[in-house]
Amino acid sequence: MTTVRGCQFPDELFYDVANNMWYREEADNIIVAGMTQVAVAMAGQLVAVTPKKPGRPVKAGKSCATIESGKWVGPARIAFDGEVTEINDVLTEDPKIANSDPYVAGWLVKVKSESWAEVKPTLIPGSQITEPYEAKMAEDGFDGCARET
Amino acid sequence: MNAVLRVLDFGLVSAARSQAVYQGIASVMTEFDAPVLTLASPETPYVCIGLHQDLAAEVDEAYCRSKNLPVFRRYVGGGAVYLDRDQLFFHFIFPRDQAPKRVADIYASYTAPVIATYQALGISARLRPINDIHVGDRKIGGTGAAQIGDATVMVGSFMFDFDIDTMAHCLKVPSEKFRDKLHGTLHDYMTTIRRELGVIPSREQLLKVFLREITTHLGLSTHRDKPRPHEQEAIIHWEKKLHDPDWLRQPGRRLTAGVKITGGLHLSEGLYKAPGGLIRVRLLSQEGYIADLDINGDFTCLPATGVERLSRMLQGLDLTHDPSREIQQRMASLNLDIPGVEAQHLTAALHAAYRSKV
Repeated sequence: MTTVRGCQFPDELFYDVANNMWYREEADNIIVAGMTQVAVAMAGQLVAVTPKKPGRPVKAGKSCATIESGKWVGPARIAFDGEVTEINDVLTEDPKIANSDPYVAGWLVKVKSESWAEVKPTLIPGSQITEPYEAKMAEDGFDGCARET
Repeated sequence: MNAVLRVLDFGLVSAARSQAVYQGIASVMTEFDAPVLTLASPETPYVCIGLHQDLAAEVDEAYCRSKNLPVFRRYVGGGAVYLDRDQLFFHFIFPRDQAPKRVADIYASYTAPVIATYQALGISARLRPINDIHVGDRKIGGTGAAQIGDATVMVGSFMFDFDIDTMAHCLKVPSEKFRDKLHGTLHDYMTTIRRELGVIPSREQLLKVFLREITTHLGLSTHRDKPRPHEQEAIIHWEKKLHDPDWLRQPGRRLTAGVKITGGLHLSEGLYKAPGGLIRVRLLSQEGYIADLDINGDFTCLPATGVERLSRMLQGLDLTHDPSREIQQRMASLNLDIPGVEAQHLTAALHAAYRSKV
């Protein structure tokens, strides 16, 4: 686990730093996607999550779910093309889980992707996350997870 | 030389278009575009629900139909609101990379000229973080933020006047008593330009100040402009979407109970079936504490006035923890006899109300 400004990043995940998303590989080209602790700290406590439904396509750089906190609405942008295979019903029932457990219980969608292999090298492994995330936090004026949450 | 903010003043438009303008402009904005401020007021009144609200749970549709009030779902969060021509909507629409990234910073930046405008008009408005604009203890206008396409959007309104009666009737509430409480709470905790100044400035007078304060606070020159053809097309597209019943209804949307009056103030109702009967509480909570409370139900209380006195005694109680012991102490001090209703049952009803708030 790597910690940057109080925000945790499990080493085994891959990160799209620009969009504050994490990914975990499963079998058969299934990728689990979720929001980083930074994303939910910046948004505030989530009150609603609407993921794209299973069977729906997702496009790289576009939304795979719409997120609402008490103060903000926005997309969770996925890094690759694919098709949603599963959504996290526990999260849609209780969106606060993304704040309290962003990397395990708070996953957003599972996506079957043929383009994952191409995109994976552009993502940052957890073990190398410190420098890019420190730079992004500085650019975004983000003080850290303890401060924001 | 300052960067330019395009100002698109749509004036009085149809109800749906008053929402479609910012959604359309934002949806086609690219990283290379200049930021835009859209301005609009609805020609006719309507009710607007938040992106994730459940229409049937939040809006008294029968009342709205009887008053010819259409309902639209906006692409911004928050609660159901009644909107009419006494409000001037403003929408700051910035390419994502030109806007602050932290939500608190988005509000702090774009509310600054709004607050300065109120102040220049003689209203001592201030930001109550994260996103409420207050005059004293009262809220004046609401704000919301969203990312639409590649744009960061902050929306809000200048409240020239506000029809509290209609607002209180538009919302679906558990009971008429709750509606009365809602009406009183809106009156107590909301204000308008008319209420503060006694008069309403002209739209042009307010806009002149607003655009000046935008230059001061955002460092942008303002340039009155017209929407470009692709922006106009996007606005029409969104206007059609707003009229689409599938977009409005969206079954399975999150159900929320209670009404947010301001960021820290919520009005909600909670029920609990105790052995002695149903307990119903109408709770006004402020930052986790009981600001006002009404307890009733089909239980028996001796003396009969005891519940009302207990309600008053519980004001100020902290609901973020288990208040059963304090409730028990106050019940004992009033010598209340409520067969089949214990302090923990009242706590359960209070927590049901408190937890139902957004």
